[in-house]
Amino acid sequence: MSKTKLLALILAAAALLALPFTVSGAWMDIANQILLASIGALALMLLTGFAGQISLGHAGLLAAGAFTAGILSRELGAPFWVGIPAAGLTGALLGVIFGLPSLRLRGIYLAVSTLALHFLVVYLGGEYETRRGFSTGILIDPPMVFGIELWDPFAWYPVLLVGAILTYALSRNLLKSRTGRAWAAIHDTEPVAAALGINVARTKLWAFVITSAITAMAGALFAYYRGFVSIEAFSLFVTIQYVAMIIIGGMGSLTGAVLGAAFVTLLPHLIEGATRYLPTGGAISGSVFAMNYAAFGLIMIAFLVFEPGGLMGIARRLKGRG
Amino acid sequence: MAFLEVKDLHVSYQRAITALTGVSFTMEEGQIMAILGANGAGKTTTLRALSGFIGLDNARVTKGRIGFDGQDLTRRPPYEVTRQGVVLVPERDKVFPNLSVHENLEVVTSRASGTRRSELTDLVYTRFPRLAQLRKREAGLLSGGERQMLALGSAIVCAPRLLLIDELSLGLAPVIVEEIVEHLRVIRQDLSLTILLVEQSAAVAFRLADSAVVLEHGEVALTGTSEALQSDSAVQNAYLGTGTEGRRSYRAVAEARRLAEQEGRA
Amino acid sequence: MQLLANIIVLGAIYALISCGYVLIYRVSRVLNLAHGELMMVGAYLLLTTAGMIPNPWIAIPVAGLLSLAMGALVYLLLMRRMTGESVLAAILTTIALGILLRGVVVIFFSAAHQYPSVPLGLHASSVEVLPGARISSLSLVLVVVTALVYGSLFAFLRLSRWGLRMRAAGQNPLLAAQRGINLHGIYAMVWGIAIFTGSIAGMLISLDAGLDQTLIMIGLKAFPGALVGGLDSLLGALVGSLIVAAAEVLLIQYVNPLLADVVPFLILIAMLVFRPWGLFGTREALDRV
Ligand SMILES: Nc1ncnc2c1ncn2[C@@H]1O[C@H](COP(=O)(O)OP(=O)(O)O)[C@@H](O)[C@H]1O
Ligand SMILES: [Mg+2]
Repeated sequence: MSKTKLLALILAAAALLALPFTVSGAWMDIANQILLASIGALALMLLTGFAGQISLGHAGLLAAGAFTAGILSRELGAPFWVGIPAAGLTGALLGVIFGLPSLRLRGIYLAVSTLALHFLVVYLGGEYETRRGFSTGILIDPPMVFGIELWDPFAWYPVLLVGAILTYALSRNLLKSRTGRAWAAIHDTEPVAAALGINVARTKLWAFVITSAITAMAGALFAYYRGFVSIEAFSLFVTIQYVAMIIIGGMGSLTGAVLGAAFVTLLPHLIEGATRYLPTGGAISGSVFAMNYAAFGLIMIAFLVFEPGGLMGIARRLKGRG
Repeated sequence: MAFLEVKDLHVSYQRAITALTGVSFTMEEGQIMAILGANGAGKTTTLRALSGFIGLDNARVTKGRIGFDGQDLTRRPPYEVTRQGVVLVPERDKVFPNLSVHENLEVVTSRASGTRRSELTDLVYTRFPRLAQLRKREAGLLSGGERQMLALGSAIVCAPRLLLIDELSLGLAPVIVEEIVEHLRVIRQDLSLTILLVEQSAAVAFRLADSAVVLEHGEVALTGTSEALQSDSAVQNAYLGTGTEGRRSYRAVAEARRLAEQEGRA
Repeated sequence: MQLLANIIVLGAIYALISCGYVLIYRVSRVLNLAHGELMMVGAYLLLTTAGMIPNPWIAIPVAGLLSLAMGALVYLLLMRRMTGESVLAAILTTIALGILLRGVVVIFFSAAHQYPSVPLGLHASSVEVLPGARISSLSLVLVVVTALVYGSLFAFLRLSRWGLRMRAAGQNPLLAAQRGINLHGIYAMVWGIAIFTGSIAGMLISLDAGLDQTLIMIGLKAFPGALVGGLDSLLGALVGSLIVAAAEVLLIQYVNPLLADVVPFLILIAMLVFRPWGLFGTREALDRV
């Protein structure tokens, strides 16, 4: 590791540690959202950016994890340390289901099969809500973690930070392992991978299982963090946001996934800030939501068309020049 | 200026694999020239670069120039190149399998007028009577030879001035190749075509072509008239397999010959 | 009888929308996930033209032409840049376009439920089409229009020179280009036609039921019909849409109304498991993605 890189790392660590002592509750909340989004984005990056498998079912997996945690907490009073692994298990099972089509299908067919599964999960969630009379969602009490009740963003921050760092470290190690090399091989060309003695089917399924488990746990964390689960929160737009994170961050880069998660999470706040300074600020504030969509679509298109390497691509180019 | 002038052509695939590194040659109008070379030498890539890449190919002309009849055809899309009269008969996927034989001819879009098109279509049916019998047949159901005839035919309807043919004889029985070569000769007379063809089979190449370019690893290793190349014992040894010394690299051949010439002079 | 009429109306809606998915996929191998949003914009175009010219015989054709142009422009300005890029990149670009359009529509037209039929002075009446089965007159129009659109598309693809070129470009774009066909022209045209047909569907639905963002979901729900029939088969889109519509109407009626939004996708999953290339599609389509 070079000296500058080490220095940057130390600075980043210091900033992350100092953050809770310097920001307001609202900003702490945003930081937490970024951490949560990072976990989901890392999982999707592993699946799409490294193993090359398209998925449009990310929101469905998040929802599955959130509902597992919510239902266990609400119906059985299960604690945090049961809810999170249970969500991971649900995710792994769903990963098998989401992954099975990939054994036969590629490209757009795989994309639509995962999209269809998203709608299926959302339907089941909605069905549960109406059946049990939670039509507005499920409330979850703040969980106890190491004897501390997580009830405000400041208490949550260390937990989510550790979660994100663990996910990042796990992803890095995975990529260096045999599994990671097999993913890279099926990403490039399946026939060649098969010729190299890689079990393509198993490799693909593993990719779906591992990343779905991580995603579902992220969904469970989200549910605990919000203290509330509703299927409304897992629309197709959420999937699109996650896909946007890995594109904007830069395909095939873990750091990119985190950068993308930060960018996409911050975007609405940036736009809101910007509209406040516009002369017509008051007039269009009613359609801030719409402005978000429009800006989000535009930025995604801009990256896809002009900077397919994402933020990491830009960074690499700047470095090359400098 | 030459009819076709290829100068220092460089092509790479996927921004990484360089397939051609500086191919240059010229052709005069009315000539038939062959491109020879081992598998992977860059013959197909040369023809494809002349006819134009599309985005899906992931291939790019990175350097060099292609001049045709006073025009610059470098990096022009295939449909423009075709409309300029430079028409390719590709190595594979040369017909539309789900269109009928007649539709395959009809789908062609060229600068030629309506009357010229129907003249050319009639010419194709006259010269390849087999195609006339099969007008309504789906092209995917044709035999290899019929498919090659249809591919030639649909290229002819494009009103070519320079015809590029990739592997005319590939996968066809010798009798069929014979038949197609004869048809091609006649059509060439009809339309006074200039032809650039790629061949694995040197025998076929030399029967049609009056000169040849030999490619090796994306570069021109040798050029010359058919007679000169055929009578060159070094080429025979290296390529035609008729010599006694076994196969060697063309470049080594060229080098050996240069040394021999120098020795002779000394 | 009423159920049969409902199935036919819903099937016609899905079919009129799903032919756009098939056309674009079949000719340019792109899955347009912004189809729902684009057809919604088409309907808003009608709202605009209706506001300016309160005559349906002018407002609807003008909006139709505008949506044709919109489709061609989407290709020329945006999707054209994605040729040669990965399947994922092309799909995502259409998704991003969809998100952009959702925002833009709300900014310009607000999110309120609006009725283009009001300025045009159209009132849907109820017609008895089969003994004991009534549908709204606009639904009847929709069924007729769907039949007309499919008839014209079949004729266009089979008989016209441009249709022939489209089929060729769909089979082998490289060879098509080598045979002198300007692919960009063909693709722009097919996007234009696809968005035109989708927008017509959007306009007719919104004349009947009003207009807001729920139209997008209808657009997305029409996609499974296209896949069930086979993504590269127009006939398939028609049959597939009817199958999906039948299943949806029957399950809502006899099982659970909440199923409405999920039935098409359940059928899609079943199809992907058993016969992913669809009823009428070609098997090779699977490998070409
Ligand atoms: N689509 C492609 N992608 C990557 N490399 C290619 C592609 N087509 C050809 N090549 C490479 O370019 C070189 C020349 O190939 P080609 O022109 O097909 O040779 P030839 O026709 O003489 O057999 C080969 O090394 C081949 O591997
Ligand atoms: Mg070749």
